[in-house]
Amino acid sequence: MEHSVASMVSRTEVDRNIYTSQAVYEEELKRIFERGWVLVGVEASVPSPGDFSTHWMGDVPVIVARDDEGAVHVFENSCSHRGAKLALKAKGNCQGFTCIYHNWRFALNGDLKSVPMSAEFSTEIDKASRSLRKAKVGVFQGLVFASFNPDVVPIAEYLGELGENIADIIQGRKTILIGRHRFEIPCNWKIFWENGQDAYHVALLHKFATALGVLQQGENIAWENGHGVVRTPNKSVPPELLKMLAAKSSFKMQDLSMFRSDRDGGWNRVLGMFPNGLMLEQWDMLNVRQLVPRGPERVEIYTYALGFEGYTQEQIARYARAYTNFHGPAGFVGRDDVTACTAVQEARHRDEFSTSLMALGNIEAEGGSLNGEYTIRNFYKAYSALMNAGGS
Amino acid sequence: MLDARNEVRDTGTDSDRREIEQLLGRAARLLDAKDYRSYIELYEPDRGHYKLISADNLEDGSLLGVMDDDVSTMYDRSEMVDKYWSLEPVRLRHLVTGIEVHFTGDGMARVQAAFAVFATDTNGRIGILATGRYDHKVVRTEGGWRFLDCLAVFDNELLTQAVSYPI
Repeated sequence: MEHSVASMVSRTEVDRNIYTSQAVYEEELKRIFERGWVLVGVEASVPSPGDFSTHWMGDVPVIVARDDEGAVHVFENSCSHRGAKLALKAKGNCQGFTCIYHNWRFALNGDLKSVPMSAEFSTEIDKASRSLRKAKVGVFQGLVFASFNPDVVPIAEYLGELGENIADIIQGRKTILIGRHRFEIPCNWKIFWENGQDAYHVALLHKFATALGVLQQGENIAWENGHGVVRTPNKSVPPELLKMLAAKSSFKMQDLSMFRSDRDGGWNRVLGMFPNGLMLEQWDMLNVRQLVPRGPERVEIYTYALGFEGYTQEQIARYARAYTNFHGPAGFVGRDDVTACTAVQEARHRDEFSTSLMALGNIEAEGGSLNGEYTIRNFYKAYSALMNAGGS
Repeated sequence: MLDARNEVRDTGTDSDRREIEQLLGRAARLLDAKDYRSYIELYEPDRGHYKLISADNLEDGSLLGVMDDDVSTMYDRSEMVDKYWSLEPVRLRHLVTGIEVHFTGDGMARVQAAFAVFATDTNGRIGILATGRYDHKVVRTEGGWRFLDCLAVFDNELLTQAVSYPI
């Protein structure tokens, strides 16, 4: 590889070629997206038996399907005969998958069921070995993780303290999908993950929130395996106080509905899930973001706005609207982040002397005040360990 | 107004039809000019609403849009564009075609059309921001026909450019 990651990542700096190098990107696909746990979606996308949804693990197209017994499976969306894509639609419901090319049929768990004219093959088709390439699946509190590495540690062990926080948010409740957004940003996937864990920019980029005075102090904490959280205490702000803040601020915001919260206490938090997930719990809004790299300089974001079984229609409508106008791709916060990430990538070029600095906060500590870059440094610590591990 | 079968008839005139078509054209022109506040004035001020949503979400019965604004939100958004947002498209260009107007009685009408919106970025590259369909409700007011409830449904679930203005 032209650029060795060992030489590109230090404790507080990252060589910017890590965001543009095709060679680094291809190693990431092998070492991170093929060997570890990857977020591939949410259970709420496949609520019923026969439901399926198509996704990606790195650059490998996969199907997430729920079988008739209710179990969720993840397998390669590529016929084991000649490689044709099996599920041509983004989502649906079926009893199995039939390749349009030669009609090889596969079950909802990826097993090969039948082969037309099988007697005419020169050797007997071993259905077990010609079943679809299956991933190990870890469904955790409604999130679907998968790995092509059969020896990967159990998902709960991999998630560790991150898992405890996900469990604290979901609390074993059945999630429902309020809706999905997809958007593409011309930036490296790691830049968007960094943005999700970067609280330093919040008061400076999201100026309307600063003008409104709704920002609070909080914490930035790194956990094992590259995971982390940025969080602030959740306090429901009375509507009258919000109106007063708006009237006094330089941004006289008229529609304050997105700041309303039925939830009082606990945290507003952004969980960073290594390598490719973010979970945002903000007031009444809950969404999960799945990052799908599309080459070194482009990332596709799948965002799932989630609710819980038992929500009234009024709650769903209100939370959907709040999420749309706050975190959505044209949201008051979401739009700023797209702009910033685009600007970061646009200035990238091949320059062996340029590095990005990630030195905010005590570099000897695992966590501290909100603006510290603990979780970003922690991401690159886990990243380096995987990218520099022995073997190819 | 009822006809001999006691059914509500289309009560709009050709003049109303032309005015509604002009309303659509004016909206497109103002958005292309990035004159957000003048665009907002095309809405009925107390009840006006705009929603931008993907066809996929709409067909799934999801309420999740990309914009979901009453008139006050639109004014907030115009302030965001003026004061706080950057790297927005340099130029926008709306193409609106196939306009159909159906009067529904009580001084209201439904207007549908197809749209394509192109955006030129800061590098001078042009791309398609979105294509889709409008399905709006308009209402006759003292000041003329105004938007009451606008729905813009875009075909491309995957957005590849930032969205700052209504489409």
